[in-house]
Amino acid sequence: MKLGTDYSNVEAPNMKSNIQIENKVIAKTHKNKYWGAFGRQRYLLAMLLPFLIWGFIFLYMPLYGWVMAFMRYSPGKPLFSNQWVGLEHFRVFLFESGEFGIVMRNSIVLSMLGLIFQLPLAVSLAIIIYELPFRIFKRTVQTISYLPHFVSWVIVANLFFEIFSRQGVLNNLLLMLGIVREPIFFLGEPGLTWPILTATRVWKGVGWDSIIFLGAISGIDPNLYEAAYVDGCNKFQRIRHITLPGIMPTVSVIIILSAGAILNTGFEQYYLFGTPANRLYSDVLDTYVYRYGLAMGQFSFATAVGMFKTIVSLIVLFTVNSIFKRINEKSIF
Amino acid sequence: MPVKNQTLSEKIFTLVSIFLLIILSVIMMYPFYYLLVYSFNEPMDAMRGGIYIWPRKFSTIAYRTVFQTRNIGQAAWMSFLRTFVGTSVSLFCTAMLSYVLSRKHLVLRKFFNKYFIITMYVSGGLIPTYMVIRSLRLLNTFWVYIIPGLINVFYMVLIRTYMEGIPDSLSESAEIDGANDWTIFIKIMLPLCGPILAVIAIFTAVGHWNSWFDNFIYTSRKSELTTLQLLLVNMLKQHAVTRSSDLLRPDQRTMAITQESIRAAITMIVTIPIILVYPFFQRHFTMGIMLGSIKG
Repeated sequence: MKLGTDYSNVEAPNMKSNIQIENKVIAKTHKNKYWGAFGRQRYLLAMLLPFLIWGFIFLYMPLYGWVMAFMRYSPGKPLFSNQWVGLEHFRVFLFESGEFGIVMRNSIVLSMLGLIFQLPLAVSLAIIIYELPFRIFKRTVQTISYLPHFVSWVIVANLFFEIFSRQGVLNNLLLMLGIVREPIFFLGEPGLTWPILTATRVWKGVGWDSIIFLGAISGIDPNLYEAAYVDGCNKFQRIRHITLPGIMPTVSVIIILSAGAILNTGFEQYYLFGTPANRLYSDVLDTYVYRYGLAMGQFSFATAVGMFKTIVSLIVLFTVNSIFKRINEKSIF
Repeated sequence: MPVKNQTLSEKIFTLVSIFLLIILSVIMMYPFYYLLVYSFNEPMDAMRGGIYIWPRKFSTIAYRTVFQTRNIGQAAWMSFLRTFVGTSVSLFCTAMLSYVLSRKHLVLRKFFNKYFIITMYVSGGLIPTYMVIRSLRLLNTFWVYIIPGLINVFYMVLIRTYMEGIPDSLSESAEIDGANDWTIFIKIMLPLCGPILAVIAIFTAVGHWNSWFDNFIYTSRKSELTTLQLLLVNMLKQHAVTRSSDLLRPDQRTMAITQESIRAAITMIVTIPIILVYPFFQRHFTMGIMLGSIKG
């Protein structure tokens, strides 16, 4: 390579062509480097290859399966010999099933209720834990508070079915305190479905969520607290003017992510707590897809509903993200 | 926080905080404790209710029945097996993928990263995934517990981030000594990633221990593949509406053991491994989620 050309003696036009040649040389070596890299990185690429294949099969093939949503698919037939029906399944789901409104309402309301209660509680818990001076006590409380995160919804359902049962401890307590006269059948009462689902969800998640905010609080510059202390701020003023603004970016990110997941309520909790008596209030998109797809075998229809869910979620995620970007200058992308 | 010179309102804040935290701890712990007490109470007596903090009539019949039931032993073995195999295989594979994607000189590095990360936002969903698994003939096999969830992309990002924080000089000097990427991964990176791998291992193991949905939809036809969690799900769903105590008249309640007590006992048996490993790994969790929140 002639990279060391002395330009000082060369006239202007010549210099230009020299640079062009030089660029070509660089481009060529770059290209060689690029292809040569495959040879030199053969170990690395050999380690990667199985996962590319795995990803193709288990992450991308299902996306390809979305074509089923536009067909009248019957199992056993080769995929493309099924009849195309266009947007038929989407139309049926949105306008004819009569269930679209119910499952959408339940999914959105339950997600929102979860967020509305869990977020402020988790933030408060984090602030309280941060402000308290007793280390061992704090540690213990924290450890206890996120234990429920590590047990499955099956366990949670079992625990609360027993507590909420007619002879359960909650009814006993309410009777003893004279709040109710008759034992309440909590899980058979449609009106209590949303409160119960929200309460158990918050119970399971609040401690775990508080870790995120504790992390955010410990990321705040300690000098700010020092300065506030010197200026005579009390604890409440510090919380109000330093801690809360300091964790707002984190809160924004959590809200954006929750918005994107507003239809992804998950399956387990709603399936386990769901009974025919409360289905009108506990049926969410995920349980709906399961019921139509796997329990009733309407594969195409269920695929269409699932596809609808994913696409709407993405649209919501990007919309909320761009709104936050504009007003808050905080976003995840 | 400086503790000196607390004003009265700050002292009240501290007291109220302590009070609230104690309440919170009780709310978090009591459901577990209640079921523990319930499971050790005499089953017929327990159905009358009114148990709060101590068994009224102590009995281990629920546990004895559970341990004598053959399919419960099989389910416990299956839960253990999938947790053990699933965690070891997943952890190794996820670490390996993280290593490859953390190499700064990897060709098409950006593309390969996106290839995996996009799938965190867009996934085919339940039915298409089911179809893929069915066409691979994985239905009703043990491997359906392991292979479809082999890589968790989020955990991959966590491990990759950790690996990117390890100075390049270590692997560079190994490269000069003639080590290839496989050797560097096994001999240098894996040992250095101990802390993050411990976190991911425990997350993965808890996930496997707790999971039942794959069991529920992919292997429900094969009873020897049933895990403890699914066993509990089935018992719960059968009796969700019609609790035996709600249906039977007192004079009909003659059997010595109830569905509720069995369920309480199994619930305890399933929960105890989590509680046992919990204190050992608890301090790592915070680190794991911090990393996640930085990247997330």
